[in-house]
Amino acid sequence: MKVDSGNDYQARVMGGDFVGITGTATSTTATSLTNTGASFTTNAYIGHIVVAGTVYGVITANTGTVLTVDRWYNPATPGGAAGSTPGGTSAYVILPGGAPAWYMALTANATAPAAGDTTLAAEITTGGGGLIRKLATYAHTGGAASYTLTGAYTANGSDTLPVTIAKMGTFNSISSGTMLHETLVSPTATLSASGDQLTITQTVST
Amino acid sequence: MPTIHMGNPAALDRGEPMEGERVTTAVIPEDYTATEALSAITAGDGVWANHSAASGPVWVESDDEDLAVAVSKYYGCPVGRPDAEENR
Repeated sequence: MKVDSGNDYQARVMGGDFVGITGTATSTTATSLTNTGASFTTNAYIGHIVVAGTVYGVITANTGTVLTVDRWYNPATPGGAAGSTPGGTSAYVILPGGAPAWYMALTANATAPAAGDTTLAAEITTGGGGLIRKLATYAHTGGAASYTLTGAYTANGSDTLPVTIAKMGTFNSISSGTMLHETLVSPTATLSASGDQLTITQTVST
Repeated sequence: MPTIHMGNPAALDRGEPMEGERVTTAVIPEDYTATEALSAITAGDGVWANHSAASGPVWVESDDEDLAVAVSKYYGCPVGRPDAEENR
């Protein structure tokens, strides 16, 4: 199901909620960009992309002068390692719309999704594991009023096995961000050994 | 990220048939292994099963030659769009 935060996200991304904002940073860290001369509206830019130098981040919170991002992404490899922190005085732009919701997460929690859910309960986050949140394959057939996101997972030695996958979620960030969809997996899928694979698809109406 | 286009003679939209031959496009994350990439397309709950009632595409085309060949071999269909071949 598409949760409430997903409805809010879709409205903003497809409808647009403000024009772009530009400026020059006064400092940056691995998860923030500060412009001491800015007058941002607090938390108005959550879910938007801020581009600085050759990387971008997904804004997860903001004060009047500080944009907090989930991390910096290399635009060519958004599912890979984090991009480098942009220079401390980089020019930046906060883009209209929002970041793509193309990350898929898994959980063994089988509680029915609720519209007010904003996180995936007991999401699998095992460091180095093969079942953690990852970029999904996006697919669309010309003219269709839908698209799909397909995650392909391979359990490895870091995962706690066996595990029965009961629910999945889609997000606009590789680590935090906004949850759009939360769906029970039917039938559930049990991965018992390193090397076991799971492929799972979320169909989204446009 | 590798992109693959597939000629779809029996396209589905949320399980409902669509008229005419369509093109289904999939964008594979760059960090997927070759096995995961092929699985994302061909698995029982993969891209193709969710986008088509046909047993496989009638052609494939990709900016990743290895992926195109792998999908082509799996489904037994040619690499390259028919109209592109006609224009050569």
